[in-house]
Amino acid sequence: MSRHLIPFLLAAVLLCGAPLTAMAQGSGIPKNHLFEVGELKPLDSTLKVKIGDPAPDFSLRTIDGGTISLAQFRGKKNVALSFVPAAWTPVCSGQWPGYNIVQDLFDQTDTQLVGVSVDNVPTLHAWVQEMGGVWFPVASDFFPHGRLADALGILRSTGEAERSLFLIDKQGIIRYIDVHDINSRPDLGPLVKAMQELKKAQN
Amino acid sequence: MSILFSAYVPQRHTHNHLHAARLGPVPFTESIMRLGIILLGLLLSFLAGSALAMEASESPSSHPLPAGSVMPDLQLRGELAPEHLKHLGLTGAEPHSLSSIRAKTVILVAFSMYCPHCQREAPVLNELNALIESRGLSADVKLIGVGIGNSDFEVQVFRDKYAVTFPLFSDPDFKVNKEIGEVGTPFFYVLDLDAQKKEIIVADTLLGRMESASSFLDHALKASNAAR
Repeated sequence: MSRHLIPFLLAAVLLCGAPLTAMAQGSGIPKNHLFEVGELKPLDSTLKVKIGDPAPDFSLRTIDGGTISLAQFRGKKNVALSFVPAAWTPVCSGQWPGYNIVQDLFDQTDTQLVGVSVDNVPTLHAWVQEMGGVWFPVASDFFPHGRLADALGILRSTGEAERSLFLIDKQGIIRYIDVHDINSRPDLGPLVKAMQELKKAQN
Repeated sequence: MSILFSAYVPQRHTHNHLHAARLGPVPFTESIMRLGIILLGLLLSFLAGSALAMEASESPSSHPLPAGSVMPDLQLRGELAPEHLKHLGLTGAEPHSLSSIRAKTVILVAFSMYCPHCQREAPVLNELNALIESRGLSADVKLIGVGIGNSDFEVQVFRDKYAVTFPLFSDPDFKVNKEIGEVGTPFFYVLDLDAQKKEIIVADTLLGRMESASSFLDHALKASNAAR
């Protein structure tokens, strides 16, 4: 009996391990795991801040179990906030994986990228894991619901944040704003250009 | 993974066959074992299926042009290096039409810098391009990429990050992608350029990452020859 069992056990161990490895490598999100939102009203909020204003301070929980605040970067790093409307939606799932290959552009310009959404921590954690992970902190503006998004004026009437980018300098002043059509991904070019110009001005 | 899996299947059949050939009632422990094997098989095919499905960023509205159909003469834009323009035989101002590329076969890969599968596929694409060259095919077979929804900046990020050796165009407003059927990424079109008929024929398509550069190239050449 045990003689017969060994090959099966071996096969089981080998074969169960193999697909899991493949899944870890192929870490995009399959279509049926995403919620199709369809075409949404491009913008559904009124911005409350402008370039040159101090950014509202924030303290948000992150998916690694910690917290992140704007104050901790004061005098040290510029901060780029990338708000996405919702986890598990197609456009959002196709945005942060792109930022994964440009960490050097953020590092070269003393910029800390922070991903933010109004989803709760466990949801954000699961979603980011399924995307294959990201190198930058991901923060949850869940409770009080969308407090930071609301302070910036990007909280939609349906409770999601606008798809938007904010660049904040080391003194906490907003230097760049791109509140984007929620249905499409912002071009990375203008943000990187703003980061490079800010860095140049700081030298 | 797929090799392991397919290697497993005959093994399972062999054992089942041995059991089936035996006469008389099957002992209880063996029937439990057999059930376990069947369940394992089901689990594996599920896992294998989902793992394979993950090799592409799918598009909900995808409707690729099937093999044998005519590909529209795409208008291609992008910041191409002079040597890449020369390689493709393109001159003059943008946009460049697909039909003006000097080739018998064009392998077009729709990619995005945002798509993790495309990021992982980049070295394989460079390998494919090197293979085209080393097999002495570069006069007739050209590999090009189109960055779906990618600006020139984003295409340049991809080019720099992976030291991409072949020409990449950009498609910031998804115009090209609308013409090629709103495909997911990476998506491959093997195109046969018929100089006489002035038609571009779809010889073959593939959604998702290729198995290997050499098997893909063999397959592409065969399909392109058959389309002629």
